[in-house]
Amino acid sequence: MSIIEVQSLRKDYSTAAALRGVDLVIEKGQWVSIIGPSGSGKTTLLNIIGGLDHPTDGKVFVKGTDINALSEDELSVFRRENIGFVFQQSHLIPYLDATENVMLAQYFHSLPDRKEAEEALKRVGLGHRLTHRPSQLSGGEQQRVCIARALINNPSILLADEPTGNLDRTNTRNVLELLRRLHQEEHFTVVMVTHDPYVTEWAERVIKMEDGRIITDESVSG
Amino acid sequence: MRMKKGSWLNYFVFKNIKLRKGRFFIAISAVMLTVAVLTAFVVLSTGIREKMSRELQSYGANMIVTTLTGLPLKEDVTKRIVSNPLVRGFKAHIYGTLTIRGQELEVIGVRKKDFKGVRLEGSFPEGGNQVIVGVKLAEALGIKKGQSLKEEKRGVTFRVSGIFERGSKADTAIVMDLATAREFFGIKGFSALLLNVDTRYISRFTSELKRDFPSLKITTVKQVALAEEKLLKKIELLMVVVSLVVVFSAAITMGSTVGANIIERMEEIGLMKALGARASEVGRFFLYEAMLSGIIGSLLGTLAGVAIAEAVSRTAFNSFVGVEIFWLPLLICLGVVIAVAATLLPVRRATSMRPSSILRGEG
Repeated sequence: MSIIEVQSLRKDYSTAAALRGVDLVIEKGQWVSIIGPSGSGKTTLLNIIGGLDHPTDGKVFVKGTDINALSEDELSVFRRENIGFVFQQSHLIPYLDATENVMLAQYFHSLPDRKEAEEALKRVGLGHRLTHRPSQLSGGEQQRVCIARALINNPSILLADEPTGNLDRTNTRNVLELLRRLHQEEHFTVVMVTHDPYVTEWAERVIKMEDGRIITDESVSG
Repeated sequence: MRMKKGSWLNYFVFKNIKLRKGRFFIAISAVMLTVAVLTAFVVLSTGIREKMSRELQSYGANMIVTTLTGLPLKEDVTKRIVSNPLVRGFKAHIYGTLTIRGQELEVIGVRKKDFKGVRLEGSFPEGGNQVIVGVKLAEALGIKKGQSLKEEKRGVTFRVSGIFERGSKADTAIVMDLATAREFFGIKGFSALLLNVDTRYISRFTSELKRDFPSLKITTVKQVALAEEKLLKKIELLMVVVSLVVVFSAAITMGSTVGANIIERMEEIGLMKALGARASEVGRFFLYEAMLSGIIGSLLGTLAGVAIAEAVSRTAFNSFVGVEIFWLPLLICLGVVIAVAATLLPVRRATSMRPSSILRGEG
């Protein structure tokens, strides 16, 4: 059953076209990696799927909803109910500690719950870093906080834009192992943009993009 | 345990303020400066007219009331005139003549408290048959302090208790105490009333007097009235201009402070939107903070403004200015409104941007 469906998607910027007619269907629970060189349109595609950006043309259905037909406020509500984001930069609020950063996502979704937020951090292996501020955490730890924050409201889709882009190989593996475990436990759909072939090895399906188009779309066996 | 939305909002905003004390302090200072200037302006402008009017009374009367018939003004008429709230002060005079050394000399009967702005060598006549003599008349007739003057018609002798100099026509006259003059000339009431009327309403007051007392002769001392009004208007205009300049520059400071704060926190705004916050929910954080800086800044600004107004009043008028309390809550509200309004525009601009653009650093 498809959870994301993209039809003839175009995105034009004033200087160039970022997407030139992309069609894509992602099944529920899949782990999809989108790989491609810089400027290939992979982040633009991810942002449009997540409702962070609007396409110039084409349609995006997420869980059967045409998200481009939603108003800005409806799109915000749709995002908080269904989608979790992990970015390359952690984008953590500097004056909040790890737990509070997770609670911020709860605040916009429903009600902040410190205990639940702490549990989420413990699940990503940060039980000893609950009251640490982002500046007191390593890059890998910051990304773990982001994963906990992205998953705290039980989204059905996790969109990750180069989540290991700033990490060394060891931390990259740790973050990916963590994501794989959570993915297996909670069965959410993962769409991960990367330019690192190593990261694509963890996916069930790898989509290669170039110059705003999908070049290859391959399923990867175990 | 689940936190209430409001508790979290408080927690979040206060944590941010704690970390960014400097920015918050600047925002408070900007509100404080604006409200202080406004408060000082309001307090001074409501009090200054009264203060200035009081000062300007020393310019003298701006209206003289006598009767068309030349008869004295009756006491009840006088009472009704001087009890009018537009009358800021009055002097009552009695005019008559004394025949001394074969000459008819003008006499003015006046109260001691009304005999101001005069250089007096000797003392004001109090009781008995005492008079003081204008310097020009004294020179002309060779009259000296302590001398006796015989009134030839009635055969009464007056003692000269002093020589005065006013620098006006009065220097050729003799002055005696009002009560003595009344008794001596047998006048009930007064010969003339010298009024100091609020210059803004001088025409209205004149019309009212003419309507109520058709037998009165009313003369406006135009130079005094116009000079007073012109001076008051100039002062008020100056205060408005100075206040506008300061408020304008304070508003710019506040706007740029808020603007810089928003730019610094664009990443937060983008993140909140990515987490599913509606524009209004993001705005709430910033507007709440603006409201806090508005309230604190306005409270401090109002106090500072009153202090500035009092200092100015003390320096200029040597007395404190009265504060009309109902202005203070209005000024506090105004400060909060200004702080929130200055925040609203940059926040709306920031929250209307696409989260992807903000997180890419295009904000």
